[in-house]
Amino acid sequence: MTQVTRRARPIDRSAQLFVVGNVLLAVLLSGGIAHSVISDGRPPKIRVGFADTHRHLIDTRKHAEIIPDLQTAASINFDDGVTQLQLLSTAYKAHDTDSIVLGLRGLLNHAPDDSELHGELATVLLGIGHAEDALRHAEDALRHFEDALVHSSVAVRLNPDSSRLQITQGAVMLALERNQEAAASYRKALELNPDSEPAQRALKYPLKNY
Amino acid sequence: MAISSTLRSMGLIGRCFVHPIFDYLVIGGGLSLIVIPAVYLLADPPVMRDFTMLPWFILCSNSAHFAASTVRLYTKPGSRDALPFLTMVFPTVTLGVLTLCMFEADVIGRYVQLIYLSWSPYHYAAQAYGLAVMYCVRSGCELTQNQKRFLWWIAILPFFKVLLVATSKHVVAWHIPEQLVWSQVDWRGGVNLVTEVLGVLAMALPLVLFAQVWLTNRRSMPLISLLVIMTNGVWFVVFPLIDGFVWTTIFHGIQYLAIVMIFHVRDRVARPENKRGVVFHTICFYGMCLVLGYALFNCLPYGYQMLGFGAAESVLLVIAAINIHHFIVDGYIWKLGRGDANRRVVETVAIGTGA
Repeated sequence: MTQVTRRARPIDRSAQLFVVGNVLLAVLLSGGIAHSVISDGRPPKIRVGFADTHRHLIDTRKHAEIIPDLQTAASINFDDGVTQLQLLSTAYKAHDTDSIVLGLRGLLNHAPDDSELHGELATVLLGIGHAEDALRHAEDALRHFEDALVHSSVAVRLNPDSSRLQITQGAVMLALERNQEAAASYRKALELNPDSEPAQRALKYPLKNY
Repeated sequence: MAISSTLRSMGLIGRCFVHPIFDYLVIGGGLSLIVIPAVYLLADPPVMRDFTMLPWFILCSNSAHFAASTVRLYTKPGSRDALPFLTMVFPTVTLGVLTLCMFEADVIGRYVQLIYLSWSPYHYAAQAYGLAVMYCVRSGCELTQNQKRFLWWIAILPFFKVLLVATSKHVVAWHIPEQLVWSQVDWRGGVNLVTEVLGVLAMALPLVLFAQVWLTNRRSMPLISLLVIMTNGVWFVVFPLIDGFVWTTIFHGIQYLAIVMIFHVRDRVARPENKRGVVFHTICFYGMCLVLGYALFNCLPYGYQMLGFGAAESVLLVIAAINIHHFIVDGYIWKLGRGDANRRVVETVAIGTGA
């Protein structure tokens, strides 16, 4: 008798668990339908992944309001270039630099060879670094400058003939107080584009003696 | 000599489940070799993404196919006794883990996504292998253990190719962002060469195995076994990665629905108390898959939104969880063990045919 009771227990427990799981699922499903009817005025629409949800968010909310959702989407769906692009374009419209960085990093996962993306990310990181520096957050500023250097170096290696990328590299070096290398980058930028005003300005001041 | 040549030619088509045309086009994946070039020739690829019917198409093929493994699990004779954990406990565990992941979606979500993205091409390859072996068994072509092992390695070559091409889809990306992996040392030339070699091998080795079986077993592997392995290869070898995933998602879903319905209907029709026909059981099974597919992919995310979770994690993590649940369930419901309902379906026609 005891043996029978012992054997029956796990089955009972799994049956109970099965019932609990199904009740939870039923609550979530019926609640989901009710939520959709209340919020959208119709049962859940047949959709394709997150793309339709994103469209719905864009249609119903302001840019700044949907940034948290897009950030979550971009961090989960890190491999989908479209999700990163959605975050990036919304972040530019909302002037949200942290989200711009997130979007650019996400896009780089998708297109690691894109020198322009590396350059743009370096520029944004440099801007954040300068803002941190102005607030006297030296460690945070240095971290952003070093991160910017990684991306500007990759950008220059991928496309050494871009005057703009050489200027970005020069600006990052200047921020890191590596003036010799900064001057070299600006000179290279001038070689590529003799009319480059940022390069002329930087070599005139503050890199006059380098 | 005459007997040997007859055996070989009889085995070429193989013993099909429905009709050679249906089996080769739908289960073998031959349809994809017609439809994909047609789409590329007749329309721009973006048509696939802007197509207004796409959500319905996804529901009817992809969502329904995910639901089909669960429907099959609970309708397959004897599965509750044979798989008590999978049938009774696993759904609740999945729901619990999914809910926990929702709380830390920004941190954990990426890894859940990585697991399912890494697993997908393996799952497709494993299905191709399973179908190839199934048709061999059914057609009376007994592969040796070595031949089966060789077939398995050939089948998963596209999986390895995907892993190499998409660094962001697997374990490397857990630690280092892809752009930094590439920025340290530019070893992509070597990787590209290896992936090209893998692609060529994925296309050539099935033919080598076919010839080897032909020569050593003195009979032919059914061509559908060859086709099913090669179409999975074509999806990932010929097309760019993203297109490969799109096409595989569509045609794998169709392939899966066809074979699972065949097994289900044959089980139902074979029941002594059965009074209904094939069409009834097919419609019932597919109807259940459609309803469950709609409920899981479209209603469940709203359920989590109702609880206060964001739209992004609700949609994306539910999709990832359904995928992972499907992969695990699928690993068990297709076993061809002796006495299993699947074995009976596979062997039904093969026995006594001499084919």
